[in-house]
Amino acid sequence: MKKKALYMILVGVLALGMLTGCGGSGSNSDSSPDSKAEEAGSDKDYDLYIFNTKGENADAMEAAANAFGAEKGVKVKVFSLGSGTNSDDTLRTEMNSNNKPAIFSCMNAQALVEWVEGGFAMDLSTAGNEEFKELVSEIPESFHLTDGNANYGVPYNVEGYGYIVDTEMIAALFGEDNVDAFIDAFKMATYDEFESAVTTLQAYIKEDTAGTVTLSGQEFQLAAQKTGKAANLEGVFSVAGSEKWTYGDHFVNIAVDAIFKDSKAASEATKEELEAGKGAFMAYAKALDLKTSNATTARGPELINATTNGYDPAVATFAGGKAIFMKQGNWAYENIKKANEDIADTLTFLPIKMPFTQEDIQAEGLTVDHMLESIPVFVPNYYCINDKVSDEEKALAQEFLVWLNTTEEGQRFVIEEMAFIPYNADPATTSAGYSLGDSIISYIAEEKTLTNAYAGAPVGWATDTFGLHMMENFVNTAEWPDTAYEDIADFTISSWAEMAGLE
Amino acid sequence: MDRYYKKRLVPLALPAIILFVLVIAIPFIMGVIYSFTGWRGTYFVGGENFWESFVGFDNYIKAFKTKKFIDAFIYTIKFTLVAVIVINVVSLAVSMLVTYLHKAASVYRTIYFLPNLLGGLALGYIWQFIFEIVFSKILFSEEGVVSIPALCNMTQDNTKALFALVMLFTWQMVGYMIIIYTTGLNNISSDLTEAAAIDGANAWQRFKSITVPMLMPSFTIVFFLTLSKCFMLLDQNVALTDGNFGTRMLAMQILRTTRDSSPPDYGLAQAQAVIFFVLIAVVTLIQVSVTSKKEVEV
Repeated sequence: MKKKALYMILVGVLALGMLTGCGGSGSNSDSSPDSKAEEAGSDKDYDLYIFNTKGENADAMEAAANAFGAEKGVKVKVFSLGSGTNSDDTLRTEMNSNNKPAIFSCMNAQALVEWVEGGFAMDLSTAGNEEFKELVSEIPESFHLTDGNANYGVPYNVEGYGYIVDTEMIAALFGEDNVDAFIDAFKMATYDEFESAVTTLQAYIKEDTAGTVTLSGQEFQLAAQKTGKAANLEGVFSVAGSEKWTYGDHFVNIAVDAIFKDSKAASEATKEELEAGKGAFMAYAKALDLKTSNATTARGPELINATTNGYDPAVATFAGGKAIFMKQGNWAYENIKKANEDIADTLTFLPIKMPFTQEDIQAEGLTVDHMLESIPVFVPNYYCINDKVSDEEKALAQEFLVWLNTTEEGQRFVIEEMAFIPYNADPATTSAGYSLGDSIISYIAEEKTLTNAYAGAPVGWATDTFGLHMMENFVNTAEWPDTAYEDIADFTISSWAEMAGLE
Repeated sequence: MDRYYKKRLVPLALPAIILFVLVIAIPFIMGVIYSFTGWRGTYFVGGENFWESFVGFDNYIKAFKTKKFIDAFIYTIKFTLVAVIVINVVSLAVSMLVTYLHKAASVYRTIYFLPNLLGGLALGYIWQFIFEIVFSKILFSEEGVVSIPALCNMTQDNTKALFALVMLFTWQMVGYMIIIYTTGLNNISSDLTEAAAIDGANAWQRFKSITVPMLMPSFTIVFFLTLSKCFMLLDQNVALTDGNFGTRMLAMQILRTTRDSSPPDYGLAQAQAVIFFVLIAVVTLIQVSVTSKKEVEV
């Protein structure tokens, strides 16, 4: 009997350990009421606390905060996580402590819900600082972080994405003198021209048939021999096939952009609007078919192999000159540079093309030509002010954001040290200082930009539901059934509608 | 010695009791309470404090209505069934081999134990490489050494991935279980087996009627450890398949619940954790009482 009791204790202790180990992430909380926390706030050793989500600019943010602190005679504390680390849990822990950050980060309207519902995010129109009010009023409406009622965020910066291409690769394929003409013609080209160009290029790579590529009516003759940078080509596209976001997030966003004018419209989507977007989703499926059929790795189980076709291998494939195009954003610049420094300065963005007709485009004011010629430019992250810190700290937080975004010194930190493109940058006078950043600025200058509408899709839809479905059912099979485009479009609509609770 | 401990029982046990209460008992109780509230990680829905935010059994009902939770539940049970059988058969077989090889037995035991020292995440990534490159390209592909399609791309199919996880976990666990089994086997007096052999019992009869009953205490411990560890599998699951192709298990489901919802539904995650706890406690308690009843005292 004694033995049995021992076993019972053994089981109990182990099982208890399991539960607290796995599920207890909310248990490190401090349940003392907030009013008490503020009274007891004397143990804090700073005047302003900034929670920085982007690990990449940890040093730059620290330097900017120190410069601001020295100027105003205050002590600023900056907390940054390592790059690529999910900061949500850490931020929540900090929000539960007595010393809450005064400035924190929020990605988009979906993530904002939590901070508005919990009373953390401050409605920026209630700010007291006049300069800050002016700064907020000048944020373009498409860059607002909003729950539909108020604006809660000051943008970190803007980012953009498209097909990244090395201009020297174009030179090796079509001749040094034709690079600019090719880039311009590509931007204007129709989807059909793009499709036949991809087919011609793939044949050239695989079978050495030097054909002619026609883009917006102009002909470009491929070099007779694959020389220089083109010598190692293995396919037209480098595809990070094992990553669910490859199909789910930014690529499908092009189609979502055609249906909804921005993420707010997408978050208010009705079943009818989604169904009306079926044509756009079929265009997405066709473009994905073209891309995955002409990748460096043939479509099938190997394309979704994480060891050979994850994010890093895909960047290495592109940087090593094995592919002409790679769908990525300017955030990948440092990784490309690490993989091959020689191509970093000659990169540029080309628009992602999908075969839309004017009927497919539901978003008001958009045309087929604009969709073909533009790249999405969007705000990836926002600074929010915490409503639960003291009024003095809130005032200081406003001062800091004004300083960072309007003064010369603040802007120097943003552009040079953080390598950001400021959301309020004047494209005529701003230089990002690196190839892909400048490419984005040129699209902004020409007003050839799209939005980030997919951020308004239901939480977890883009990557973990839609992206996963594409990977598990389509990208892992070489032959697609005749109904594939239709099936993909139907799944897009039904899964979105289900997760958004639309009937 | 006994008197020394009896006299100082309280001061000696106190540090451990305080730690246990602070780190395990209190968070556990809070966790159970939170599972009945609208806890969102940083605030309670409907009030400043948890008692203003009670939702009754809503989180539990919601958990059983969540398809991902049900799928993870079923997959975890399937995995546990297969893994417990495989781990026990393999480790018993290997430990019998090791016991018969008197020479260098401890060297073998050490080698078998090594995988157990690696962390689950590291193991998962190592085996991802093995399944995706060594298996799928070098050994079992059409151009490989022998073409066995069932062993190619094992991480890309719900059923194959189950066996991939079992292979990985067996490789990790067997070394530990061997130590328990060999100790148990060494405790069986050779008189018994010799006497049975003289009576004409063959190897299978000796195994069935002498080794198995005598080994029951070891079975109790090994079954308990493998059952609970299989249910709790997390790191290897995250690293090897990341839950793709429907391979999400319960621990990972709890972990990811807060990411599947916005605002993050910590109350729901906590309710799933309590269900998880009850499941493991019930299964292991039944197992321990059943196997320990079969133990024979000599």
